[in-house]
Amino acid sequence: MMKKYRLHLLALVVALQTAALVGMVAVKHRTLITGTPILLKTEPVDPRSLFRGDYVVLNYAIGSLDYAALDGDNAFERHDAVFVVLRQGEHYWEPVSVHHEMPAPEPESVVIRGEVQYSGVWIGGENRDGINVRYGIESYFVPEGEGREIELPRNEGKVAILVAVDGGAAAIKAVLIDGVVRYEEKLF
Amino acid sequence: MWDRAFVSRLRKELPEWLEKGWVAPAGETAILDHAEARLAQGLNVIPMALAVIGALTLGAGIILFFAANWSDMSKVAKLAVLFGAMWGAYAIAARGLSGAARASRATGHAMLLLGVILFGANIQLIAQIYHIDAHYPNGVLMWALGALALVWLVPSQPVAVAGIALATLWSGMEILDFGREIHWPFLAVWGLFAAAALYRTWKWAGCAAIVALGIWCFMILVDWPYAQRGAELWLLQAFVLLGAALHLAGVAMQDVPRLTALSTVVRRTTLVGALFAAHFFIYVGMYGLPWYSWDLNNFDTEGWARVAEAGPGMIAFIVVFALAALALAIDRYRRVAAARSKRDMAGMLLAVLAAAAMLANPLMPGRYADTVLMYVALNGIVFAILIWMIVAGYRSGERFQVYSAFVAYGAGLIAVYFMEFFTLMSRSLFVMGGGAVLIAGVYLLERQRRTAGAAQAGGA
Repeated sequence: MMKKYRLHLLALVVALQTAALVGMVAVKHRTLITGTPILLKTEPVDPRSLFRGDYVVLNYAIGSLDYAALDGDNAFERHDAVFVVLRQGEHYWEPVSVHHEMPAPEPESVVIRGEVQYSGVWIGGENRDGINVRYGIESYFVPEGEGREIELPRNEGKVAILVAVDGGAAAIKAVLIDGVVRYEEKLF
Repeated sequence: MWDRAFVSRLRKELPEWLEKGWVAPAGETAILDHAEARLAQGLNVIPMALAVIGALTLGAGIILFFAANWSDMSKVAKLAVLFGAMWGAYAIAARGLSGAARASRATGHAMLLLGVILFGANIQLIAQIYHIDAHYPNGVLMWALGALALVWLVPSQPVAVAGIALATLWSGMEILDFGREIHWPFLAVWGLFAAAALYRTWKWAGCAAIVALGIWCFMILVDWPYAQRGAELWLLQAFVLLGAALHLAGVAMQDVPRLTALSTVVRRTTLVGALFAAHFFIYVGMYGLPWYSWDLNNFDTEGWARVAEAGPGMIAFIVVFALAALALAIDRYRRVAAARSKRDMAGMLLAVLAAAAMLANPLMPGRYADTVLMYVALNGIVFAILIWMIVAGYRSGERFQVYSAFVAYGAGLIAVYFMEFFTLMSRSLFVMGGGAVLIAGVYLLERQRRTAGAAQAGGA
């Protein structure tokens, strides 16, 4: 028979697990509410996750960074944290510089935090000295069977993602197809 | 052992034993009552097993339901259902575990397991709802830690087994998907689960912990980076030593009354693990690992250069487990020496020889002749160990040890047949020599057994 103190301990574990889950929700909510919205160019593909169902993998243009085209640091290794300064371009936000540490905020720019996946990038048909970076916004989960709808316009390059960025953290706000919002993230 | 066949056999045999005066009339009833009681106790595992299967099935269904990402539910409704289901499972678990009946406790543990599954489902589905994709193994780690808290604060063996599986999945993602090479943090989480299994003397969780460690070692080997090729032998040696150290720990556990029940599980699982690693180690070329692991000509400098190449982490790994194996071996040697068992002494000698050969191997100068010599020596030692295992297992009634040795021997024979390290003629002589030694050994063993039997009959 379970002793009374064990029931208290079970309640403690449940409280800890709940707090961890609420923390996950709270961190994303904060980014979505307070973050600066930026539009990013992407190329989606459509796989499936074991636990989370269908999703679209988003290959961002800012995922491949060419040292020669950017200011800042240029000696990164796999799994290093990387801070990328982005500025508004003609249509999309584009990388300006890369850093090991969080740079001081500048007007008209945002800083997004990522993790180096590997060194060396393939840009414009040639191998360049640079890094491939993940920002934690590379998956967009969709209802079963709808992944293909986002993937199809890939060849015309008309899929864009509206992302909220706050203190380096990023969260997806909306998926745009041909400039029209197809999926929008509501807070609740 | 406590199965129906055993009880039926007892029923058949006992009247004869009674007739011969080996068992007193009161003893016959007592033995049968005891056997029946143990049989009934064994059958009580079924409700627990069914409840656990039910929890796993229900949990899988819930995960699939939310994985479908049903858009007709709002985020708030989804979160309410997710949190409500988890709290509900834990509430039923608390009620079940508070009951005195065995069935009630089985339901309690099953609901605890369901609660942990739902905790993980919540992590994955909150990640789905908010499109969180930041280093996904961390989600599985968080899930495993949730199970770990439950294992220590509200003991539950099914949750421990699930938590060990999750910790292995987490480490597998880090190694295979993110190229972590040797993912050391796994050992910390694994250690906390293994300590709980040891403390609570949980057989299933103990077995799961050792199997998980074996899978972890295998994943490291499979995903070993090409840049560090040549250090595989170090890895395999470390894994053989790890298996041997844990096996000796299992042997030592036999002498601790509290841990005796867990000892069998530890000894058997580590024996299989050590034999598996030893097989890979001896027949390394069979499994896609490069020959230059053995052909030290690739490293024309002294052996210590290989030690430096293996890296400090690997060296620490080998030294820690070699020392653990040595300490346990010395402890065992003292006990064995006190009991004056020649059989155990021979086993210890072979184990020490194998460990010494393995540790000396990377330090050998890089000549072809040395490589062949070491290869033949290690093959011979492993062959002798397998023969010893069969003889010692046969004498002590440890059937698992005998079967394991036969399987390892068979696997080795197949490997030798397909190996390209030697010519067909060399392999033929090697295999024929092994077979002849084995037949001679069986003959000597049988003669010894008959002599002992005749002496016993003469004495009686």
